[in-house]
Amino acid sequence: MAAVCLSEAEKLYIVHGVQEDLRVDGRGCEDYRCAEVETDVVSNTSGSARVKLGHTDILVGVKAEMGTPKLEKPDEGYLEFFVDCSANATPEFEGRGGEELGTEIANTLYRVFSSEGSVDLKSLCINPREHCWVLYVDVLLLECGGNLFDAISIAVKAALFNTRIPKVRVLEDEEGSKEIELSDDPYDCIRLNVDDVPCIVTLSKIGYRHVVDATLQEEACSLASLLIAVTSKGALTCMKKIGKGSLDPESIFEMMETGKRVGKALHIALQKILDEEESLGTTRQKVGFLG
Amino acid sequence: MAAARRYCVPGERLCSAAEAAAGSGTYTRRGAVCAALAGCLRRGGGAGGVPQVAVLRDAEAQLLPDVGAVVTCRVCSINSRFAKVHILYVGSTPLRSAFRGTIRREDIRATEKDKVEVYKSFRPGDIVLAKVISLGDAQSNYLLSTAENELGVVVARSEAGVQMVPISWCEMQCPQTHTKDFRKVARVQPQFLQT
Amino acid sequence: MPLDHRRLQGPDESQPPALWAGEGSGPRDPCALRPLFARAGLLSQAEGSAYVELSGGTKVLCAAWGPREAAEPGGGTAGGGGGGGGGRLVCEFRRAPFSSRGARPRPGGAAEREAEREAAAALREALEPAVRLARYPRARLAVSALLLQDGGSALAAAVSAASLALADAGVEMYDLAVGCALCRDPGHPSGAWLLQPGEAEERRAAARLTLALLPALNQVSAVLGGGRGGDPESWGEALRLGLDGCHRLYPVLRQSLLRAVKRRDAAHTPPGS
Repeated sequence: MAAVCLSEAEKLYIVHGVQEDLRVDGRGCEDYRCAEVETDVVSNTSGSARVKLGHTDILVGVKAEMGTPKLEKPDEGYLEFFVDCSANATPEFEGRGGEELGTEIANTLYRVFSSEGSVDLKSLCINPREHCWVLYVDVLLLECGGNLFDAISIAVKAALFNTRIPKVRVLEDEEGSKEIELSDDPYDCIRLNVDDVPCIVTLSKIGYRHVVDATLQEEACSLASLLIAVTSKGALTCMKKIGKGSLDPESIFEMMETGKRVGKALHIALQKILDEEESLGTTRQKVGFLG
Repeated sequence: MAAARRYCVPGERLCSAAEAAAGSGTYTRRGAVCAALAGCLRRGGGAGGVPQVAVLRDAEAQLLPDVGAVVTCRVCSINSRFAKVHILYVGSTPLRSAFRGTIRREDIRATEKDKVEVYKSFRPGDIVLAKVISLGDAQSNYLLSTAENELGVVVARSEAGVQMVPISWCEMQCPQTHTKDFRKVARVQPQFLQT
Repeated sequence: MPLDHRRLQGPDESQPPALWAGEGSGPRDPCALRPLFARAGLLSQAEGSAYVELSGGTKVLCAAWGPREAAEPGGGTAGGGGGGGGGRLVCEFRRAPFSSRGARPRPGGAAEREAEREAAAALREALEPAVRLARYPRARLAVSALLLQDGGSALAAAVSAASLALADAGVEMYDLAVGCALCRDPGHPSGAWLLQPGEAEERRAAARLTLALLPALNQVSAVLGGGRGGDPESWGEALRLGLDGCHRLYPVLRQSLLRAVKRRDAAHTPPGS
């Protein structure tokens, strides 16, 4: 991950600030940075979204392709995650440098979405055992400014909300052979229900307190953080400690409570933005990468 | 030893930090001395009359070359700017695996550094006493120095394959062929001479 | 007749015999721990080693090697953890090809490798806070865990075994790390958590959680869980139950380590001294 160099004095300044619930950029411990969310930014995908959270910039594209269902779940489609740490974000990602971080993030996403019911996978099935939709979720890190996990999960949720999968019908002729027919109308498509898609809230332990949405500088001061995936109803679907340090049990309980509270607020704010964008329809002015 | 030996595992609280100083194999945390090793507990008088607790293991704990430590190493290659060595011993403790180190030309001797030539100081295969001056950075490995009278080549073989005898601080002679070779010879301290 | 090996040869519909075997025989005590057997210092070639077995079939063998020269100085990789001038902990987690029930996975297959790498990363994160890495500047400590049989709670057993192996190797540590796993039974509407689930329980679990605790420091070094959502209160309850489990497992690990230390000591000191 992109590294920043901080002197002891700078670290102390950040830690003491957090103790007083005042962070370097003026936020409180439970405040997110201003996030910009835009959906439908890449036209070659089934759904896409770009999220800018401070200096963290994430682009997610979802492509729906037809595949065969997995053996153990014959009547469900599935999601595939791929995270690309491009060298744009930091020079350390050049070549194979970002691979380790990329797989770590992808594994976390699999874990977060492993919970049944986060996405209605049954609706992705075309005909059991033979055809289903596979959603390839490609995450691109354009810029790293701390708190990658949260930004990525917001972007994934927004991109899944934006995803439109063309409707197909299965025609069966007399001999029993099946044929798949694609709808002619490009607007005839299925949308995914993203109400239960969780968002990740990362709580970084700094001193005796924890903060959400840590910047790179704050991440450098934190030895351990707890990553929590929260649904809009406040249920936890994934929990993971990241970092080199350890946490004491009491602070984990506090972090889970904070995570639930912050996560719920995050979901409401995100849904509002997505609905607003949706209502504007084609009249919306696209900002894209020029903003 | 009459009293039953007390054994401990890492993390075990041994005593309060006010009672005794933390010796090797222990650490202090929240005013208590805790064990850092799985081993046998030993109490003893430390420096200044303060009792000291330490946790010892049967086998000598694995040491790492630290800044200031005198190490024994074997020269594996030389060029005009530095000699590459393998560190074999730290003090008198053998290392389980060799660590690589570098002796730069300017660290070979203390005086007339600009006139030093690496090939007149070391040859591959020599056994050298050196002192660790830095753990090195991301690019380099351990940096060593022989810029003291007591440091330098202690064992070297001539081209004939015979162990050479030091005749001055900068020369060694082969007892068989009587050829002289240049080396940065160490004046070995008596405490290192063991038979 | 040439067989198409890629196609499944089984009948269309089949049920595992476990359905009729009546395993699990009624509700079990959620707080019950499976008997744990631990032994440290059993491999002669490794500097430190440990074997942990949970009754019910999980068997993990661990070996640890003390400080070695780091392969690449500095260790500038993202996961290296060598940033602060301390040493690096390199963990490896391998599953024996016959470790799990059912079809044998292709060793070295992409999915298998991926799972092993993820488990290794989890192992490293659980152990790093326990090891005094600052005492080993520019060096590399290696731990390798081999899962011989997966009977559930494998990662938790690997964490315990690996910390025993490190302590047995004479690596300076702040504390031992004790691992414990939990899962939530889907049958229970209230979502009761079970300690140390077996393989069958783990397979049908709605949610799973693996914890690692440093008992003397009372610090949690690993939390890794996921599954169908529950309230934070429910997860909190799981955490409490799991930490309690870790505290109860600790004496067993401690005893086995002490035994190994005494054995080592007896072998090295001449009798009568």
